[in-house]
Amino acid sequence: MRAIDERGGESVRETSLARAVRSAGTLPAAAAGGLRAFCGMGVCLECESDDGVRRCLVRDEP
Amino acid sequence: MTDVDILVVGAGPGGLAAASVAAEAGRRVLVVDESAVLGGQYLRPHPPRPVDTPLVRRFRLSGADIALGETVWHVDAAARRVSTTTVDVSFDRLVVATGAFDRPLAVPGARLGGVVTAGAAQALAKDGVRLGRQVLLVGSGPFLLPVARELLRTRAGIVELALDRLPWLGGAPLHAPGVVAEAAAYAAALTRGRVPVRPGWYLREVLGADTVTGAVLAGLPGGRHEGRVRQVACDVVAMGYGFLPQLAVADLAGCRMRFDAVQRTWFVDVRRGDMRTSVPGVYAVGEVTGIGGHRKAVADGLLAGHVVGGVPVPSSVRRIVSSRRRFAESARHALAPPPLAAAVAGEALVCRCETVTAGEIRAAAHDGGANVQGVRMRTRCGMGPCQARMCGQLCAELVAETAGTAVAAAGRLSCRVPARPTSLERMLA
Repeated sequence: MRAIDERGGESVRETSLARAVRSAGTLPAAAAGGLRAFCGMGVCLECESDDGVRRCLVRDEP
Repeated sequence: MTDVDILVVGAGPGGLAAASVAAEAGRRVLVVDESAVLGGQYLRPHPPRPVDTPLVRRFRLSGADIALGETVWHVDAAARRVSTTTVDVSFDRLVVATGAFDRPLAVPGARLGGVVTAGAAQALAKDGVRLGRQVLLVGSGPFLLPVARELLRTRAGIVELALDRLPWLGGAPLHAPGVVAEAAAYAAALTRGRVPVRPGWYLREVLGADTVTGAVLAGLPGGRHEGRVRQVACDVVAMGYGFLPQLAVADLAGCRMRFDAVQRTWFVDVRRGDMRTSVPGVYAVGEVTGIGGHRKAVADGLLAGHVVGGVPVPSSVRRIVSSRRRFAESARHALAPPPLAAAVAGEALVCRCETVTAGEIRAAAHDGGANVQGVRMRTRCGMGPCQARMCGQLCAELVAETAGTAVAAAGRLSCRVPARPTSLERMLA
């Protein structure tokens, strides 16, 4: 099981979406580079990264 | 196969409360959540760090186990088994605490780069990301106030907070006095940030060629600005027209749903005395049973935790539940999203996965598909990977508007297996 034991230390890694926007500076800058996002919670599953591949950048799954 | 007494799906306030009480009662409890951190959207801290609140501390001491990054894609309620990303879990009792997500509005231009939901804006801000220089925050309900505050913390510029009406909670604060202080803090933040707050407007269109350059706002039908239209220059549009419950897991479990005419959407039908659903062994707490905020979610969780834990519900918990339900009921009308289906432009994309427009849905409804199932068959609306989470509600409202029926009569696009995209290898394992 991909379990994270809370008592042993919680992961606080940021999402790929947050990383991409941070790297670009702002959401408009990331969008100008091709990034698309909408729900930001892993619900809409329609993110598109700047490589043109559509996958959820919150859950990091296709 | 992992075997537990109680499986809780969702590590937000309601799920953590239920899990804590049940584990303290000596039950083997496992909580699964698809996020990498516990606490749900509400408790997610800014800046990113392990969540540390009294509820989370209680959970950590309770003995319950937690599996994060696990997505539920299948529920077999009869066999009492749930399948997640990496494991099958058998349970004796299942508590569904899957929360809610933003209710979007379909407008032309909504797929331009820079258009996000208010929840996405808040999540990015809580991750310390500066969203944009000219953010238009538009929608309905008090949730937009904390979103604005988070944006201001990251020094994002907010050109305007455009609302359908001022978020007035009526008599709700009488049942949760802390709300007044919260509202005052938000108002102070907006004042300090010099954010113009303009009620009576809704989002009609997003402008731009590839990315957002502006937006068109229109006066709300029936409001004092009705008939007026104006443009706002912005580089980000963050929209949120209330919330929709995350019903996928309850759907897969076969839970009966009830329609809330005020919220104009469906919720899991539970017995108020013990949070049981229509399916034996399955319980539901929090936003999936009715939008009411974290206070109601925790109260629901405490109640369900005692029930599934097999211990008597103390009168103190009953009082908390009663008070917070009164709060939620008082706030319910204030939280009602504006009825904007008739104002949605024909070219606006409703089903973003299958690229189905409002005009195509209206045409399909007019041609005999007077319910969402008929429209789904004619247009593929709701058949994409998000399984109608983003489009199902508006589709039903458009069908009802076209057919001249109540939204409840238009039906509901439910979730099917797999609830999330899942590899064949995993499904066959």
